[in-house]
Amino acid sequence: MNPGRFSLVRATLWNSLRSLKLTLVTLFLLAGGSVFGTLLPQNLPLSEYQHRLGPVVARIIQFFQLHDMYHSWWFFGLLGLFAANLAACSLHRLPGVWAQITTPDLTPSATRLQSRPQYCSWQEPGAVDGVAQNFTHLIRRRFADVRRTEKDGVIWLFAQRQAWSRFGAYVTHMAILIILLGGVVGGIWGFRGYVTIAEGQSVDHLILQTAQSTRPLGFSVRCDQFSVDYYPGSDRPREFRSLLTVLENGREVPGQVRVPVRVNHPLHYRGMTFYQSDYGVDAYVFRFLVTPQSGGQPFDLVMSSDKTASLPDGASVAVAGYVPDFDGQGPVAGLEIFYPGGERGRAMAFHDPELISKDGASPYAFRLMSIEQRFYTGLQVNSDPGVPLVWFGCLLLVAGTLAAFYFSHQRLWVQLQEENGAIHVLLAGHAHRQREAFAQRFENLSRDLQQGVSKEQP
Amino acid sequence: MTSFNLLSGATSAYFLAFWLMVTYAALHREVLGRIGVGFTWLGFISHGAGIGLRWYESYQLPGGVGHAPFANFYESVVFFGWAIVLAFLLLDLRLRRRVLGVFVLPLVLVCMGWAQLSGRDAIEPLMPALRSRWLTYHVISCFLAYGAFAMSFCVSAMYLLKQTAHGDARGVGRWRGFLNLFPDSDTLDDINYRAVAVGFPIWTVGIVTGAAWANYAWGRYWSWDPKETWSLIVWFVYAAFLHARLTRGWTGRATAWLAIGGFAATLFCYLGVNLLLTGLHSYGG
Ligand code: HEM
Repeated sequence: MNPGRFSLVRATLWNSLRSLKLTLVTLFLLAGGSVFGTLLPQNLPLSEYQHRLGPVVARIIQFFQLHDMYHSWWFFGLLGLFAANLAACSLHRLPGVWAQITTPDLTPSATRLQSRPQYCSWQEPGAVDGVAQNFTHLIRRRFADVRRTEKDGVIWLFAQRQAWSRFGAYVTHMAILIILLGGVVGGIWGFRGYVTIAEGQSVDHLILQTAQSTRPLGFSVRCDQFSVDYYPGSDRPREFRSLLTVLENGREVPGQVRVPVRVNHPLHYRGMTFYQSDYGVDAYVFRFLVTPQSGGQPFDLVMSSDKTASLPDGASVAVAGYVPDFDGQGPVAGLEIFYPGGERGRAMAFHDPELISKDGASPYAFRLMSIEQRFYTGLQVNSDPGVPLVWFGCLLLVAGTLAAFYFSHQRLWVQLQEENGAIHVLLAGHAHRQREAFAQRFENLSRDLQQGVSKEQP
Repeated sequence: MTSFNLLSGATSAYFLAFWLMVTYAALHREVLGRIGVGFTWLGFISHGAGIGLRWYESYQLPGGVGHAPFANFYESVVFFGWAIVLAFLLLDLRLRRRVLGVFVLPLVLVCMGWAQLSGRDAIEPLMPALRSRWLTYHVISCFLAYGAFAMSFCVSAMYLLKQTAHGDARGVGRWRGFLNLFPDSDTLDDINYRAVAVGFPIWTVGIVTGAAWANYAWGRYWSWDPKETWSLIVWFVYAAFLHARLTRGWTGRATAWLAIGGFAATLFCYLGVNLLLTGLHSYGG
């Protein structure tokens, strides 16, 4: 390709990339694509789509990754195109706006002034310098600081307000790019996982959500307690709370001991965040009062439903089953006893002392004293180094849109020219937003300028 | 006096106001319109007091169930109605064209009627994920934006009616008096733009506070849940509207239809998602 052709192609590409038509098209495509993603259930296994919609549709779904649409190649492609369009268009426009604000046209011609949306002219008596001074004074008080230029006996005054609001659009655009960047950073360097910790236990690795693999935390987290708090007199949960302790090399980290973690109140530690997200019953903890049948002191035995416990004579015991209410006789636990010789035996443990079994089959009598649930807590664990970027972007986004729409860049020009002993005044104004409000303001200002000059003189 | 009485009173006031405005539109008697707006103000104050009182009442209940009154469908649709009236009255202060009420008040009456029919006016305790002050910021900004978008919808409908009638000679005769009460087309077109320009940054705040809340509650600021996605769709549509209008110079019919599309998306975001789709936000229904 010859250089001329090449630069022509490049210019065409650039012009389409920065065009607003492309913006509107990508915005509508993104919106339409997103609608589609909310209609088709996402993240089901492909076989499920095949079953429901048939093999052809499933093939299409697979090709366009419609089952995980928001992470599909074409959705990312659209977002990329959108970002490129946004960047190109802002880069193309910004220098012009910058120049318009920082180096405004200080000496516009009379015809240019007349073509402004707000315009009026009148004759003023007196000397041109004095009038200019009075006008400057008044505009400074009522509107904004004034820049004065003089050329060939003609005086121009220029003032502008809220010029910065012109950058609102560009701040907004940059904010969107920063948020997208934050999403990319989080996608590449972040991870998302899950831990379950039983009360009293600790973990030092998490299960990654996507890869079904594990990842060391680099420290460990212990769950000291988990509790569900209900609204009084109802079974609606009010709060799920885990008390977590962070351990480094097995030692408690000061300030990170028994930290309450609730929904909406996560724990942050070493770039990771732990969110309360799930819970369940890990085991039941039984307390028995054990009386040896041979005579001897009764003793307490505390054991959890998933473990066996040893008895003094070398036997061990495990809970085989538990019924909260057995035939109206209260709670009962079925126990399995393992003797040192290898035989097994059974025993029933009631709470009611009348029902304690005294048969000779077991060398002990068990009385069930209490049962408690031991919970495990489920915590979502995230690390997302993109989040600060996203928040920074959001802040800019709000500031940018507010600046763009709630403020307006207003400009005012005065041209003073001596003509046949009188001073010919041209006053013109322009606002890039809220034109009506500005028109009112312009009218007031022009009236005050016409009347005020004589009044303001000492 | 309970919040329920105040809200019922507000509904009655809106109902009266609506018929006053319809009569005004039929008879062109300015005073009727003025009384109509007066009743709308009355309803608005009672409505606001009802919402405030409900907030207070929730803290008087035993068991610490106190919360901002934006938690279930009843509360949200009541607040939706309030936001629409707020936007209407603010607009009326500047515009003073009462005929707008004929278009706005039915929306409000639907909200209030639906709330009463839903029968879910009991104050319910919040589930743990909703117990966050972000909920308050999030809901308030979203609904203020809904109010602005509702205005843009109403003036767009008026604009299109006016344009259609202009093209149709027979129609004009019968409707001329009514149409003459409308602001002129340019004003309608301008209000349409301005309502969107006011609503868009507020909607942006709504999305951002929602993302902040999701990040605290679930550890993800964005998870493409249907409600989130639809709020983004609404944002895209209004961004397209603003660019089409400000930088490509679209006006009139084109932007009026865009505004109507935007409001349809807004309504779907508010109602359709809860009624038809499932996701994290479904508790709102
Ligand atoms: C959803 C995404 C977008 C949002 C929220 C957004 C937001 C804004 C805002 C608030 C304004 C201010 C209105 C104005 O000054 O005219 C604006 C202006 C503008 N936008 Fe965007 N924008 C987006 C995407 C884009 C894209 C992708 C382009 C690329 C072509 C673009 C091009 C422009 C242009 C040319 C202006 C006028 C700037 C000026 O007045 O100097 N926008 N945008």
